[in-house]
Amino acid sequence: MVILHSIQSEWIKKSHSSASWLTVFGAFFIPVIVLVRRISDPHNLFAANASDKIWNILYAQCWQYMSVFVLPMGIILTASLLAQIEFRNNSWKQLHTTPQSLTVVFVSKFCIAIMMLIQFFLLFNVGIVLTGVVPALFFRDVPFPGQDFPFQDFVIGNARFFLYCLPILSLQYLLSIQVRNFMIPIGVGFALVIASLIAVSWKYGYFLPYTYCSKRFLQNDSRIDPEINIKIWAIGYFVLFTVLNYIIYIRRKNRG
Amino acid sequence: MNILETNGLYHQYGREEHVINGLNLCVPQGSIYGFLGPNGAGKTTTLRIILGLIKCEVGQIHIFGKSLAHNREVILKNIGSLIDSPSFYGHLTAAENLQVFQRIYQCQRSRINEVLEVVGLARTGNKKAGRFSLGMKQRLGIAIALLHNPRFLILDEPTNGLDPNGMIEIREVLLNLNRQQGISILVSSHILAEMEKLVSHVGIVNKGQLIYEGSLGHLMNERQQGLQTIWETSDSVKAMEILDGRYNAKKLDESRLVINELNRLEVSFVNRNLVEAGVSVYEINSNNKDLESIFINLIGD
Repeated sequence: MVILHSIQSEWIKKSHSSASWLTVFGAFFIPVIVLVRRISDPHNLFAANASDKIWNILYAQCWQYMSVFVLPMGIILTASLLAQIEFRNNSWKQLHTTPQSLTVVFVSKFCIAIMMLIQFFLLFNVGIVLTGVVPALFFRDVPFPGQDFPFQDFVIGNARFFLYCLPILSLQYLLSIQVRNFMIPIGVGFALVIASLIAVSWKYGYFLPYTYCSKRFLQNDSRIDPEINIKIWAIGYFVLFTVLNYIIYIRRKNRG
Repeated sequence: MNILETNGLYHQYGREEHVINGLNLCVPQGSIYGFLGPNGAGKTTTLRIILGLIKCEVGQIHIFGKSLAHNREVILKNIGSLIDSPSFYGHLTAAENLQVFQRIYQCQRSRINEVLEVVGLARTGNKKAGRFSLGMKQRLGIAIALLHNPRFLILDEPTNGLDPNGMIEIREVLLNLNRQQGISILVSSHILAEMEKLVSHVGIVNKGQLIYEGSLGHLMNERQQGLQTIWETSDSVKAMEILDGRYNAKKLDESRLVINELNRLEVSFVNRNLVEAGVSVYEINSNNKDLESIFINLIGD
């Protein structure tokens, strides 16, 4: 129960914050661009929406743009902004004088970061659906998407991307709550995203967790070793960064 | 019975000299304990250690008779605190800020409006706390500290940034909490005149060491006994001859002499004696018995 109350408290704290607005805007950013592009080419809309692969096409388009750059950058910014709620308001000290164990404080904050990622995924998928449905609402001769909505494919695909995001989230969260200056986690994250763009097709690119989302689209590239299980690597990095973060947090001598 | 006891607290930042140097505090239950000291004396560091914000490396802390090291959460459940500048979330309203803490403390929701009334923030509506004035921010910090009806309040400079009216209001709030609900309060401040009107006990700290601890009344009495009167005269040699060894007078220089422990009647009597004997008296300077002068004397000792 204590953890539940703590999560509720953290949830109120993040409402109206920059991190929560960024989650909403970031989730709809790519779908809005895809939608505008579709609407600006109305001649192909009829055939596209009537296609029996329309959802797969929209899913691939949206995720391709999202996974390479926008998603990692969104996670970097959101994790930093989330930790900045305490730093900017000078409120770590108030939080650490509440009757909660340090483990509860750590876990509830991290749960909020994960819940925001889930919220981001949900909103992004709503955005994908809207890219298919909205043109049919605005243009009389454009049909609603002809393909049955592939729930299972969407769930599996999203779950994979979610898993690939976890190491990024845990490393960025580590940097964000341990370093007061928010430019450092953002700078490090940005550098690692750039490095991942270079390293994505390198055969040892899997050492860099920021490459995992992009690798989804390079499955047939001969330079990618099919023997490497990215999912295991992602889980391993996630556990490593989270445990490391927890140990550093618990052992901190000064708590605000 | 003491609500807070510290034994042999030491603390140093890195390899610097000790900022807390064997501090033994005893805060009696039901008291308002003023924790005084000049800037850099170690007041805030001590309060942070007491609240567990800085790891206590040497020494013991007992609050409500329990060791802080082994009962942190149980103890913190009954403590309200405001350390340094007030902590609140600038993007939330006053009520939302209190909601954040209400969920953790699991106190009644009605307490939110009650404490907002107490600190005079009940009509701030949808205004974000980040847009509050310094005084309002301070009040919100106090509201957060009071939210869960704590038995013990630890406040670091709670009247910082408040105008004179605000100071009086907060003082009244604290006095009422102490008298009506029996809440013990440990409060640090550099506004000594304000503390004099508020506290029942004082602890004076300098360079990390406690140089006085006891009731305010006892301190006042003790220091009054050491009261000195300095006389600025036209001729201190002649003045000494007139006093003829009475009152234990001592010559300071050609014009000044000092007499210890004179009451008001004696001051007027000595003055008349000197003037009638032809010694001009230009100035009679008694050190005051207010907390500020006592504090300055103690720190300077």
